[in-house]
This record gives sequence, structure tokens and C-alpha cells, in this order.
Amino acid sequence: MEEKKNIHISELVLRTPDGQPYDIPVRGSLGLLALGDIGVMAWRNKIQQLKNEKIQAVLDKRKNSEK
Amino acid sequence: MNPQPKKQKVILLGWDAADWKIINPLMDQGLMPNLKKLVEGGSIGKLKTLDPAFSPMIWTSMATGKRPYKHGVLGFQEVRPNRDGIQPIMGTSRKVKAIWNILGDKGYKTHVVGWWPSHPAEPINGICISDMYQKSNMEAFPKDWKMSDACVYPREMAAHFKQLRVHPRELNEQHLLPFVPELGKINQKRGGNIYGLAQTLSHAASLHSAFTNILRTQEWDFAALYLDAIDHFCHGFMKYHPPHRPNISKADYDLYHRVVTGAYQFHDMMLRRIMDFVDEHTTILLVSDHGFQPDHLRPKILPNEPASPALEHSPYGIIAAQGPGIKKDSLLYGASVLDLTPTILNIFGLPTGLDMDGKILNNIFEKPVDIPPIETWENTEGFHRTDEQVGEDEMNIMLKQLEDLGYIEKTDSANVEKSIRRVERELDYNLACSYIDGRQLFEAIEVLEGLQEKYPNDRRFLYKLATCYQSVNDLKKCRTSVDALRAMDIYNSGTLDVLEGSLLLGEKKPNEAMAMFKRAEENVDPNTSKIYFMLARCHFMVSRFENALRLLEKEKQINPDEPMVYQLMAKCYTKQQEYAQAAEHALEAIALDFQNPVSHFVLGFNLFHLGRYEEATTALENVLKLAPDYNDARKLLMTIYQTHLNKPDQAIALRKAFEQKIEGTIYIVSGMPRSGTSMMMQMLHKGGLDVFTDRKREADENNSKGYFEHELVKSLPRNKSWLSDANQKAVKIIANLLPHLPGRFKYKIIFMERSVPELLQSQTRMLQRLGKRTGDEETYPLSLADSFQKSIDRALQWMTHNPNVEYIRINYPDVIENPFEQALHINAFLGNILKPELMATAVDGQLYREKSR
Repeated sequence: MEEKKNIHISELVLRTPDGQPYDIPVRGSLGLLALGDIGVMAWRNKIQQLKNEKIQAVLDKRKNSEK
Repeated sequence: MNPQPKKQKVILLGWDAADWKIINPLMDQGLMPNLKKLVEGGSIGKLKTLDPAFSPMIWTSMATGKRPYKHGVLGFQEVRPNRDGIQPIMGTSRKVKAIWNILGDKGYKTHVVGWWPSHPAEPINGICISDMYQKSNMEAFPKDWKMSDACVYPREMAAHFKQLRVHPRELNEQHLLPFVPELGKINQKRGGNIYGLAQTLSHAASLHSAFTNILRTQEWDFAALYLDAIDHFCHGFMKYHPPHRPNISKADYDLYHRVVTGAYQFHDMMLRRIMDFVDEHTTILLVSDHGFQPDHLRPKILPNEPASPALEHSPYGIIAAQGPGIKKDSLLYGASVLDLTPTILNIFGLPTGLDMDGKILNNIFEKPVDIPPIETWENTEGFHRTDEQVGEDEMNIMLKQLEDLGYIEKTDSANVEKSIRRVERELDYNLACSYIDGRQLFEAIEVLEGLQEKYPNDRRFLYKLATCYQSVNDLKKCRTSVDALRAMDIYNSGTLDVLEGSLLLGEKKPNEAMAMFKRAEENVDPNTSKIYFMLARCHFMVSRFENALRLLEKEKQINPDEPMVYQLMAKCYTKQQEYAQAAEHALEAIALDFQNPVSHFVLGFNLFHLGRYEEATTALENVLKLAPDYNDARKLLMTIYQTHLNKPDQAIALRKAFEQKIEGTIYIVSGMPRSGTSMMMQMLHKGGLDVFTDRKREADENNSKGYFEHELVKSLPRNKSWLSDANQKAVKIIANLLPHLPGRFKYKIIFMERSVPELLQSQTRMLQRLGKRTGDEETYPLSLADSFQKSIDRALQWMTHNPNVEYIRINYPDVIENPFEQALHINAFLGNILKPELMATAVDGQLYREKSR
């Protein structure tokens, strides 16, 4: 049985059955929805992370061009 | 309140419309591995639904153990409290406690997610998330996707749960391709229903997300989740489910034939996640409210009637239970949706309420625990209502969804009054159907007669009324209703022929009934009309049991889940004295419908004949639990205890228990007409006993002191409601009607006797005085005399064998000759409550005119 975890969802790391970190697909999956709250939030975190990376990339690019 | 010792925990999962007929092949193909694990590790069975099979009514029955006419949720919609419009049915319509109220009151931490109906979220000892929490529409995303705080209790947690919802516009081909592999071929503009699919999927994902969050982060003893997705997927896509049917376009079939399978697989995946939270103390119960026809029983077209999509439902849902003390790999028979709450209470070591209609499913337990029931849970704390109103946005989304599913008619916003009338009409109709389902036929008739008066052109009411009249043996009114239906030429003639055939059977005209059914056979669909069952009833009535059995086999091939087919087969075998076969078929009928007392009686009767007395007593005890007035069962049970099991104490206990339920004593004067019954009523009246009479039939030459009758007595075969008014009074009831008296009263019967020749002579003279000649008065009417004697014998036999009857036989000439002596005798029988000297003054010897020659 899964133990009670009051940690924030963003801190959760999804793992495959062999213990490896699970690489969340950006487009999501039925499997993630079936995982419930952790699946949904992990997927949204992934999207957010990707957005952040894109923004960062744009910022970095701008920074480099200013140099 | 201090909680009980916390050992047991329960997860209750509701999958609306889940059906073993779809699940079993999927499990066999390895497509539902998690449910398969649950099934193999626990007990499973079918769950008999209620009629009407409307989800809000049934899920509330599941959560309360009570029928809809008790719990108050009667449909999909209701009139708003200030009557300014209509709204989806609310949790506030529930007027009795749900399982979560009872458990919360006992200190258990309880959480409920998505139960239908449960909005606004009610205060409980845990978290309640209402059935409006997940509702969405396509336009409002992402910023405008509102959620009222009333969707969550405690309200301060609303913001937390709001972010756990999934919107249909978040979904993409990754989510939808498992349902529709050739998604790209769908032209949405040409009626493709992909948005509906995404919406249903997102709603399930939202509720599952909130539920898993609760299980993961909160303390819990009881947690319930309700999902409507399977029902919605099936209403939209079952028509495309294999095998392909000729009336479905091949192109559409190719596109959508995987949707239903995908829906079940997704639920299996969600189940896998929930199983992560199950420990050795947890019982998991997976249930559905009804099934969904997946095969040849799928209706090809739906009638243009409110809530007609419910015709696609099948009458059996599912139950799978696994946990500590639950039998493994075991089959459960005879379960009903009403049994869920009593069973969960038992798991927690709590008593069931006697006012609940369900029973504890003892067969799922390795060692059933007997906990004496209490009167009711309604008098205890733990039910806290909220007066919050529903937000317009959520309400409109929900109404739109119900409209899209076809469960409700489109709301006429321009004519609010019309919409209100329509909703009230449907709620009343559902109430009547619920009464019928609970065998409360007179209550049903009252509601239906009101509806019929208001809406004479709505054939549904007249049709139901006709079937009710027939069930209560009011064949005259049934005939009138059938004739009126015939006059409505819009009615399907085949369906009406079936109804009329059934009426003819009630009128004991089996040959005419058979002709009617044969005519109907040409116009009705054998898959839905039960026509072979009807024909079998005709053969049964004329004792052609082999023919009946042949037809019932045919019906069984079409309708393997119809309990009445097995019941009639059991009756046929009983008549053929094939007791083992009969018992086996009665058991099948009970497995499909535990609530029918007749099947239990047939089982008990046959077990008795097989010498299996202990088992027979169990069956007969069940009859009396379901129908306390079933005197044949009581008599047989007492005989078994007394004579075959050598348990006279049990027989006495049975009689005492029965007497405790007695509502009162009615004093009856009975006998054949002209046997001195009016004189005896007069004696009792003079002696000081109240008499039950309407004084409509006035004294005349034949009865100079009056008849002391009441019109209502004649209606006894179909109407017993007036008996309460006759409590502690004297009533005149002719001998032929005695067997129609129900078991809930004690009867002290003064049975008047007079020789049959004198009776016949007196009746003849009376008819002559009334100017109604009777043919040849000089010839003794042998057949009539024989018929009189048979009626008297039948009445005496009935009185002798009925435990709630005490009777005394009084000879009419003896009263004339010795009125005071007889008055003393009668008064002693009645418990010395009268004044015999006054009783004797009522006797007038002059009236004894027809002494035997």
C-alpha cells in the first residue's frame, strides 16, 4: 500500500517499475490520467517545465545576442 | 463522538452502467488485468437494479439502502425551491441519511467524490466533492473555467481541488487514439462526436484525480468514488460495439467500434492506481447501478418518450468485493443495489436499520457476523444540510449534458411554467414506478390516477395504470383502461395485445389470451416483448406444463436474465412433482431477483417436499421478511417447525413474533348470504361493539333491521387499505371474501351457519320479494347447493389454517331458539367485552321464515 505523502505534487518523481525516473511525455497519455492527481500534475509540470525552458532559451538567445 | 476501534476500511467504487456481459470477454482477452485480479481474489455477482433504472435514483438507493419513494430523489431534474425554473436534481433532495452520514456520526473519516446527486457538497466528517465539480464546457478554458466553492466541503479546500481538474481541451490525440485509432478520419463538422468523448474522459480523469489525492493525503476509513463515464460512453457508442449490426453504417462502425472497450480499459487502469491504497484492513467494493445491453438486446430505436435512453440499460449491474473476511473466487447470488449500505454497515460492525429495504450480503463473508438491527438511523445525529443554491453556470452545463444524453427534454426557457409542469409530471411518474417496483401498488395507483386525470393523452400513465389494476385484481378498471388505450390509435397494437392478453389471463380466459398473444407475436419484437413467456403463462393456466416449459426454454434463450421465466419454470416443475428441478429453477429466479417473495416460497415449498426441512425454513423465513402478509409461507413454516423439525418453540416464537406485528383486531361476521349475518351484526351492535358500516343499504322487507354492510368490503380482493378503519369494529364479510384478508390484523370471526337448503330457500324468497324471478323454484338447484357447500368448506379451511384467525361457528336456528344462551357463548369468545342481555334483544324469531322442509 502506498504510504501517506503530504509532500507537494511538484516534488513527486514518477518512476518506472524498475525504479528509473519516468520521462513524462509532453503530449501526456491515458496512463498519466489513470495515475490520478500525481499523473495529472506531473504532466502539467512537464508542460510548464518545457515552457520555462523555451522562455529561458529565448532569454538566453537574447542575452547572447546582446553580448 | 468517539470512533469505534478503527480496523476496517472500505473503498467504494461506482462505475455507472458497468456490465459483466462486456467485462467478462475483456478479462478473458487480458484487457482488464486489474479487475481480473480483484475478481479472482474476492466475491462477485450481479446487482439487481430498481425500476426505473435512472442513475440518480439508484445511486441514492445504494447510498441509503432505501427505495426512491423513501429517500426522495426521483429523477434527473427538480423544480427550483422558489419555483422560478428547473435545476438538475440536487443532493438536498435526499431526505434520509447516506452511509457517509452514518459512518461520520460514528467517528469514521469518510470521503465522497462525485456521487450522483451530491451538489452542493454536504458537510461530512471528511471531504465531499460534488457531482458538479468536474463539469466543463468547451469554451471556458483555461482562464474562465470556473468552479463554485459549493462543489467542495470543506469550502476552504475548493481552491486546492479546483487545480486537480482536467479540461477536455487539455486532451489530445494521445488520450483519444486508444478509443478511436483512426481519429484523423473523423469529420467533426459532419457530426463526429469527439468532443463528447473528450468531455466524458476528462470528467472521469478529474474525479479520479481528486479521489486519489484524498486517498494519498488524507486519513480515511471510508472513501467513495462515483464515475459516470462508462454509462456516457455506452450511450454514445454502444451501437458501434461488436458485433456489427446491419442498421449501423460500416464506416461509423469501423471508426467507433473500439470506444466502449477503450472505456473499460481506462477504468481498469484507474482501478490499478486505486489498488495502491488498499492494505490488509481495506475492503474494496466495485459496483454499478445497472448494466448496459451489449448484444442482441440492444434496442434498435428508442421511443419518443422522456428518459428513453434508459431503455438501453440492462437490469443487472455488477458487484465485486475483495478484502479481509471476504470469500475468495466466490459467486454471489441474489444481490440488489439496496443491499450495499446494510453490507457496508456490517463490515464496520454497525447494525442495519429496519427501515432500510436492503439486506446484508452475508454470502460474501467467510464468517458472517450477526448484528441485531436497529429501528432506524434517522433519529441519530450526523445529517447536516446545506442551504446553498446552485450556481447558474454549473447548473446550465449539467442540464445541457443531460439533454445531450437524452435523459431530459430540452428546457423551454421561454415558458418556465411549462418546464416546471413537465418536471413535476416526470417526478410523479417516477414515484409511481418506484412504488410499483416496491410492490406498493395502491400508492402507485393513487399517483397514476392523479397523473391520468391531469394528462389524459399521455398513454404511459394509462398503460401503467392498466398493469397496476391487473396486479391488484381490479379487472374491471383494467379492462376500461385497455379499451381506452385501444381508442388511442397511436399506441403500438402489438404491445397493447400483450397487455390485453395478460388481462384475459387475469380474467381466467386462457384460450382467448392465447389467441391475443398469438396475434401480438406477429407485431412485436420477441427480444423485448417476452411474448414466449406470456404464451407459456397460458399453457400453465390450462395445465399444459410441457408446452409451457418448451416456450419458457425459448424465452430463456432470448432473455437469460429474466427471473420470472425461471419462477414459472419452477412452478411448472412443482406441478409435475419434479421437486428437485423446481427448487433449482426457483433458486435461479432468486439469484436474479432476491426481492420476489413468490420465488422464495416456491423454493421453500419444493425443499419441504424433498425433505430438506432446514433449508426450507430459510427460504420461508425470507418470504416473511419480504412479505409479512404471506400466510401460506407462515403456515408451512409453522408446520415444518412443529411437525418435521421438532421445534415447537420455534413455531410458538413465530406465532408470537407475528402477533407483535399485528396492527389490531377486527371482529368479523361471516357466512353465506342469508345465514343470519345481519342479525349477528345487529346483536354485536346492541351489545356495545362499534360496527363498520356505511348505512348505504337500508333496511327492507328482507332485512327489517338493516344490513350493516359497507361498500368497501366488496373491494377487499383489490383494496385492503380500509381495514385500518375497521380496527376494533365488527365488519360483515361474506365467506367467499375471507381468504383475501391480509395477515397484518388478528381476526375474530363469528361464522354463521345455516343448512344449505334453508339458505337456498331464503335466497329464493328474497329474490322473489325483490321481483327477480329465479326460474323453476320448485326444483332443488343441486349445482348451486354444491357450490355453496364448497364455498363454506373453503372458508372453514382457510380459517382453520390461518394463525391469525380465531373463529366460532354459530348455528342460526340455535340463536333464534336460545338467543341469550348464544349471546353468552359469543361474548365469551370475544373476551366478555359485550352485554349479552342486550345482544339477545336483537333477535326476532319472526324473521326465521324458511325452516327446512
